[in-house]
Amino acid sequence: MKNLILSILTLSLCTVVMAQEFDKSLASAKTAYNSGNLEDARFNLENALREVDVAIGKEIMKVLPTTLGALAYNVKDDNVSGMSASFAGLYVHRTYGTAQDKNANIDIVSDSPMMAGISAILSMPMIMNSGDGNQKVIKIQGYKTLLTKQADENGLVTGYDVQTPFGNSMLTLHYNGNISEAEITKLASSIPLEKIINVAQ
Amino acid sequence: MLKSKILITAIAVLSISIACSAQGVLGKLKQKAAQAGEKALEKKVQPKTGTGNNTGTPNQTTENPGDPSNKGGGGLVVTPPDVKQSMADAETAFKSANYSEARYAIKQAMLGVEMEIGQNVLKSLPEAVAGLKKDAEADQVTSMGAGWVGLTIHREYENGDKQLRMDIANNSAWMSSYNAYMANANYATTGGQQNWKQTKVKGYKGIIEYSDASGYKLSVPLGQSSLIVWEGVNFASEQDMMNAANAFDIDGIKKTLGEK
Repeated sequence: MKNLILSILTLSLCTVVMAQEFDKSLASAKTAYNSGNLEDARFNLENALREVDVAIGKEIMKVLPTTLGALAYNVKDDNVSGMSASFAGLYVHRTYGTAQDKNANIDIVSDSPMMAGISAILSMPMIMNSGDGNQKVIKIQGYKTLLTKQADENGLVTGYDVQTPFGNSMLTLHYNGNISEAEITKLASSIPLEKIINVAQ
Repeated sequence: MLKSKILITAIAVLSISIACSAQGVLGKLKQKAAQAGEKALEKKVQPKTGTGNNTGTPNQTTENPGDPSNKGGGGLVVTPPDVKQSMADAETAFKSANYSEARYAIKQAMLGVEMEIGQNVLKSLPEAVAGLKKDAEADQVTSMGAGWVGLTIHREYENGDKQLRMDIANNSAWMSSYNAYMANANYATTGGQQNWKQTKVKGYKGIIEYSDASGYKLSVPLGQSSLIVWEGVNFASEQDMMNAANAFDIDGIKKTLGEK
């Protein structure tokens, strides 16, 4: 409960600071554009976009689950950033659990060029369901998802990656530890995908 | 003994059913491939031989004789986004916590600004280079608003079968790694037949390449995130290509792009 209140307070404070930064960047962009300084206008617009991405990230944080199965989230690890002019736009990161051999994290990345690769894989289920059996395409809440199993040399499962692309964004659930396919699918299904997509797009 | 017999029978039945199923899938795939091949052949043959329903009547298509063909719709309105309006929209959307709309509006504003930067660069380029005139129809500015692609500007010059194509990429995320590659002189030495080498255009380091099939290609990175690429077809020599590149005001382009 304390964690939740602390988290809400932190988010509220960040929102105020973020709004100020957005206003400042947009005002600078307007001034630069009106004076014909296009490069500065673009630079300030990129900053404003970054602030918007951070705002979207904070909204996503609000709908992300605070527990994943038996794992509680780590409030201090919550991370949201906007990298509008880089390889990715919005980046949201939340971790769950503290045990070395049993933890998970959720990452949401938007505007990433990596999306094309995963989408191509998902559109070719025949390819992905063959081979060593470590990768397969499943559906989580109706969304095509790439499930990748990690195993040690003895074949013991050491973790899973669950990657769900939507639009030009991707949600990745990474689980460290021994878990069955049914359990990881259940965990992935507990993430409110629809709500996240509504906020992110 | 009975158990093992049952087990062997079960394995045999299972193997046969898997084989049948695989054959079925393969058969379907073959059938689909054959159908697609036939369709592709029909399409290739029809226009050349005049067979089928494509007799040249304007209201018929090759796909379905019943479908009307398009007689023109005026094309798309390609006016760049209004930057000031987009910025105002972004402000309103952000204040009402409609972040998705704010993001869209900011991207539109960036797109508008980048299109203006691109047009300014095109205006600053010479009308003719090394006896080649610009092909105004080929001028192109492309922008993704934001992200990893950035702004690209395209210009062509030509005279007969001699052509110079110029592409400028700006504000692209992948440019930083390309620039790092270009800045490292160790990459410039290769064994065997060398079809590329480092060079300088107006003091800017670059790489010139040659292939019999495509001609000369000269790449010069600018500042932190820009790159100019010239491609010369039917240029007489490396010097001829370098003379053409030296006709451009690279400092001016760099300044217009806002590079340091």
